[in-house]
Amino acid sequence: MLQDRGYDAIQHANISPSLTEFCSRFSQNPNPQTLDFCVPHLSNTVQVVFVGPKEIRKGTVNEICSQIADKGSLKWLILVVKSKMTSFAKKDLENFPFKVETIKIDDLLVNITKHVLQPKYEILTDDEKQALLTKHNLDEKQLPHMLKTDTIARYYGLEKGQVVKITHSGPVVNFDVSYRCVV
Amino acid sequence: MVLSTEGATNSVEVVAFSFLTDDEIRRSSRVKITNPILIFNLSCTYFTCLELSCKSCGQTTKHCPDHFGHIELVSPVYNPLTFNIPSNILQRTCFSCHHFQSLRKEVDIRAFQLELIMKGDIIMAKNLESIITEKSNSVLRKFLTKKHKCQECGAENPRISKPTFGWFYMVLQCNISLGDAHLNKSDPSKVLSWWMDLQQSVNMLFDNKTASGKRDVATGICRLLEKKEGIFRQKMMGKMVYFACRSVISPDPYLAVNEIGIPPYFALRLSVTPWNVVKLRNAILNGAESHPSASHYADKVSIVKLPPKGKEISDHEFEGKVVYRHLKDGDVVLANRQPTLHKPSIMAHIVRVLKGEKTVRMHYANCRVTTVNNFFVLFFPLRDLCTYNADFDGDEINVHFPQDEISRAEAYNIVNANNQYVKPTSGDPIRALIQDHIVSAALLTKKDTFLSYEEFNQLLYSSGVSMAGLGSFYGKHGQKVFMSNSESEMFLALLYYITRGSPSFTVEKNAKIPSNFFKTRIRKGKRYTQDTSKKKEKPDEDKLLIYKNDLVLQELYGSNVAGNLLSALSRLFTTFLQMHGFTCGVDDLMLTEGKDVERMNQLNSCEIIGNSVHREFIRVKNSDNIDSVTLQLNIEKKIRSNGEATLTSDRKMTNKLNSTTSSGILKELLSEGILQPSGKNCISLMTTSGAKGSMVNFQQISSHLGQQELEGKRVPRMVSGKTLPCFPPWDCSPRAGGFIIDRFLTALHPQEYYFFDTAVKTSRSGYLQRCLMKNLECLKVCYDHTVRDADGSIIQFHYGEDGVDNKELVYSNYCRQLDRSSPYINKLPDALEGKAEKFSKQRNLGSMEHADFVRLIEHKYVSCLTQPGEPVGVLASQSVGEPATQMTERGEESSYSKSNSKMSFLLIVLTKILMAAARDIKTPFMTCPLRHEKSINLKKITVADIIKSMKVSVVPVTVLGGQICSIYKLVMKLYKSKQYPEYTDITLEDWEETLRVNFVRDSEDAHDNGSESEKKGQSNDEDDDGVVVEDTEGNEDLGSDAQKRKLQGTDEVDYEDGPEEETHDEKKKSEPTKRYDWAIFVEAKGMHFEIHFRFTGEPHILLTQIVQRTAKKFCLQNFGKVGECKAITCKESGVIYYGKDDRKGDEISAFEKEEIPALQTSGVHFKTFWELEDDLDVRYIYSNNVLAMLNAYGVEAARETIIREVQNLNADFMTHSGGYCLMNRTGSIADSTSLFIKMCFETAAKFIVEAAYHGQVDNLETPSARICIGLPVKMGTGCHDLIQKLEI
Repeated sequence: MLQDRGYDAIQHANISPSLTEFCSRFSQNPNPQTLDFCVPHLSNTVQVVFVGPKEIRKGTVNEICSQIADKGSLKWLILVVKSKMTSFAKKDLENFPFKVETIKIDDLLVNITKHVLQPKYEILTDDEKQALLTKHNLDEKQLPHMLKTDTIARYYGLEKGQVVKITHSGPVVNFDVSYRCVV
Repeated sequence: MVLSTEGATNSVEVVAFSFLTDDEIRRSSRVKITNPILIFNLSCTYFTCLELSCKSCGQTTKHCPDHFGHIELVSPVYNPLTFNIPSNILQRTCFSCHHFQSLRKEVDIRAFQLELIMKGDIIMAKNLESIITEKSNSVLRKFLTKKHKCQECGAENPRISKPTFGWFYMVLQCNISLGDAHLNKSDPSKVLSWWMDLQQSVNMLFDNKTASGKRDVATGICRLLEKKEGIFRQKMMGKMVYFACRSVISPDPYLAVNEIGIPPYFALRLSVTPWNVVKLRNAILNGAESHPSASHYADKVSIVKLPPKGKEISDHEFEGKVVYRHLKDGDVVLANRQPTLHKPSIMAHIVRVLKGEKTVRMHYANCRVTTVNNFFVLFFPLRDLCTYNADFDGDEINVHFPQDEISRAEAYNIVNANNQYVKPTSGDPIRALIQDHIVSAALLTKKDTFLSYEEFNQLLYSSGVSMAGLGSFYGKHGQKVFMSNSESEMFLALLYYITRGSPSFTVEKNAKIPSNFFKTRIRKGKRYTQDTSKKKEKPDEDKLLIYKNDLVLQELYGSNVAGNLLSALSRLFTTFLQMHGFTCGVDDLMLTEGKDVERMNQLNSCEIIGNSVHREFIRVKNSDNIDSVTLQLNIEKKIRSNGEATLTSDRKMTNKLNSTTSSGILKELLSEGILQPSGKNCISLMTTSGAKGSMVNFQQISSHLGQQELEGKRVPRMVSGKTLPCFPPWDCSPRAGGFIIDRFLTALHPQEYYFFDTAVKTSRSGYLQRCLMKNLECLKVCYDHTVRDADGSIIQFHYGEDGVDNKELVYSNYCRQLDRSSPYINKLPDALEGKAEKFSKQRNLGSMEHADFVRLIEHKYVSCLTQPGEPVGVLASQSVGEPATQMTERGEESSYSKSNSKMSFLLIVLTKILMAAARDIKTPFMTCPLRHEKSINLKKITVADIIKSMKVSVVPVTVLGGQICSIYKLVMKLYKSKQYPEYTDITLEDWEETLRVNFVRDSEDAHDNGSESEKKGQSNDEDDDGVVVEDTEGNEDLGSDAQKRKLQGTDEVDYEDGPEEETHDEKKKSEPTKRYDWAIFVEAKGMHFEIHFRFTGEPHILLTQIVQRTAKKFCLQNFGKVGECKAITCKESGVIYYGKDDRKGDEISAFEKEEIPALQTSGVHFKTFWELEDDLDVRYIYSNNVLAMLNAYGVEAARETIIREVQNLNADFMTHSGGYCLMNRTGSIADSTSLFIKMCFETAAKFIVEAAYHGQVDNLETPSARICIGLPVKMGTGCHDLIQKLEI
């Protein structure tokens, strides 16, 4: 997933190994603390934290925050959780200076973008987006929508207002291009 | 629609909704109504008067549109339609501090936001406190959420009730009474009472459904607006159409296919205004009764109807006049037959006025059609399709005579009947010849058909061509010569004439009649041919050559040439059949004697199948000897205990019977066993060529009727076990289940008449189509080839992925060129280019270079692009709704009712996906192919599945451990492992361990629940003697033990590990509580399982029931929501599989798919499949639950799922807002930008109030809005305007 988002994850030790290597190093029930890692990308950094199986409370969130070093360059935090998170903990996450994303570990069992019904996704830059709107004489709200809570939007970490280029393949034409705007 | 000499200076641009203020009402009102008596003595009312002109507007009585009055209410009352709005505000107001219940600071923030929004400064309003708002509605909606206490002072409000308890007369009466009460200064309670009456009358006036009290008064205003008879759907959406007529239709094979025969009665009354002065003057002089002439003329003052006979008219004014001439030959009219299911339901026809006729006449090709043979396949390959869906048993049709030049030009060039060969939704042809023409064609094209010179000429002449086209005649004049292969000469002559001036073509295609049909005749034909002409034999009759494509004639020469050919062939075959004749006799239906005997023997063998199927059904081996009474009892026991068993036995029986009747002598009975050989058998000729009926009809007449089905199943049994009273109960013979071995030719047994099912399910396809139409009517193709909604939102970036319209022709677009500078489409799609290259290699086009061929394909592609303005949404909804309605009507025709079940199922699927996409659908499934060499099973397995028998014995009184107690012994015998269901992979050790620990625990828990209910009756016995008191104490102790055991049982639920770990933990926990166990002995040995329970002082227990209930609930294996799992192959329709590399998307052959196993489950639970990633190819997981696919894989996967289930454009429309939007009044209609669409669909009053409350505006972009206002639709030819060139 990080590689699909554009992060430089190829050489990282925690991501590259195959399943057997991973099991031999961390055993079948790994300690969540040892799985944390940072991944750099262009001008920002993303921190991936694996949280234990207990219920996530306010204290747990503060504890995670205190453990993070080098906060200045951190832009993104991904929490991989197993169990519920209390509403107070969610409020605290909103006050963090960086963006926090919460993913259930069950959702990472399978890479959903490999499914056969999934088309190819590309995220447009601002310039490309303006060119598209000009070409078709559109407002932003006239594009087809994709919800921010959509599985694909969460997979790629899309923000409101971003446009995704979607390329389908079918029997009629080899490539059919459409676009969706995240709302 | 009278043409006016004045031009319009204004047009409606926008419609805005709001409430009127008091001053506005007074200004627009003409009179204040105070008298309840509305009719005066002089027959005048406030509203109309017998005077010549209206005092208010000065127009005559005919033209006055009537005016408003008003009633001044003495006291204010509530509007019941908008009463909820102040009620909501009032409920969120604190009565103590006279402020909103929220904090004062928050109120100020909201007010400031609303002010910013009104100024148009949305961004600042958004940034305020990070609240995201796009409309003022959302601000108010969030603010008015209900709170229990006031955040300012904490006081609570009293409860507010909303009583809504009229009519015009009542309103007026109550108002007057209230005024009188005020004037007399009556008792305040009386004033209040009259005021309440006034409110109730107003409520009744608006909506008598919500008002309480009186029920038998006239309908309120809301009722006038709602439903099919309401103002919106009947008056505003429906229009009065002038210059129209309606009559019964009759066939006329001598008309051309695009002509319509109009009787003189209509021709004398339908009229139009042309611009020929001389003709018009003569038309007036002729009088109205002579045809052709005129019926009216009009000037600015009046419309004068002409007298019947010619008279000198004394009107000498020189002012301009409009003359209405009669309908005459060559005019064009629009014809429509309801229900209007698709575009060809309205077609334009050229008029022929037929003297002496009284009905509207037309060609057969406009009605139902069937498939054809031989040369028809050459031009018109067909299915069971039609344009009007009409027959000639009394159907009526509407005819309208368009009046203005634009309408007439559109009718001549676009809506013309000749242009309706292709169905817009699928590209299939829908017009052809039928029935007798098919038979005649088959007869004419047989090899032994010879025509003389005179016959040949007569046929050609009758088909409408002259003899000048003949170029291939070799015989001498006056000499009778028999010519071979006359059919080729005939068609060649006809084609030469029709396509003269154009290049020729070559065609090859298989015919419909199989080659063995003419087997015997070919042999005879050869000999006969050799004797007479000694010419070489030409290709067989079942082979034809077609190059290019199926619609070659229409494609190359245009629609009108195709129409001419169809008309000519129609006349040709009619004339030939008049010469030749065609009739059926009983000989055609009879079988040869030997074949008939064999038929009876094979059908009688079907009786034996019933016995063997039912034996298998109750698991009795064939070698076992069992009498019929025992067999019937076992069948009854099986069916009563398990409802699904009936379906299983039905399926087995049907499969066996079908395989028997499809093999052996019955397979070829109708081709080899009939008394009259195939070539001469008229019934066989009709059914084989597709003229009328089918092989099923022939089989039912001559062979057997077969299995009859009611609602898609075999005949169901009544409670007594019988299917009909004349059969014994639980009869296992196929005949009792509806299998009829008799035939119509030799009559049926009387009781079998009761098996026929002519009931048809009430269909909801009409409502389905209306929902689709309202949702999709705004979609159209724009100039950049995108499909857009009324507000400009893009639904598809290319229509149908390639932008192609299947009814565009090369013929009419040969001038178009591919515009390579266009930024939208500037080259061929890649797939199309690949196919073109492959085709050119295969065909070896020697005379054409590859580059030229590619250029030809580009030309074809560009000429087929969809035109801008095409209303593709309407086409999409028609393509779904029209087949559904067709099948509804077809279902009534046959009790051979497999089509009924398919039709009902299709409607259910469509409704489920498009309109009622609930979170939990009723028949969800999930499929996934397995990896290579893998297999797995997923199914709930309960203890009840493996228990063979159960026995309980009781030792009522015994002494054990110093206590008096009862001992229950439970002995269960289990099935042998090979008798387990095939899908289980449980081993002996697994069930032993599980039964030993967990099953016993659950049984005890179930017993505890039962025993606690028993204790409620114990309290009555407390006053008895001392012995009972001692027992009570003992019960209490056991009760506390039960509580502990329940807690222990609850803890077990948390375990999600495998049985082994569970057993390990269980052993630890069981040790400290072992002294509380009631089970004193457990033995599991082989197939034998024994448990001994010890109970002290307990009442008698039905242990068998407790254990049975536990056995059904206790699962040895369970996978989430997945209920059943079965192994299938990738050949099934629900499985997606593209091989190892799914990116190619190439189709795998069906044979290859059959080799690959797959899983199919009922119930959807993606995590179960994800966790089995090692065994399953999870890239191909598929489910028909669209919402589940949306949540798991995103909106694009949901869109693909809808496409697989339904259609492309519907899928894009339902997902273009990012979610899964339904097509009903709570779905996408509610979000429409057009207010008129919402009002015309459903709940009109609700949407009107909402629009007025929010001051919304309709820009009149949608078809519904423009029709309501009376403007042309902005689609199709309505996209453009004609502008007159004015010189000032």
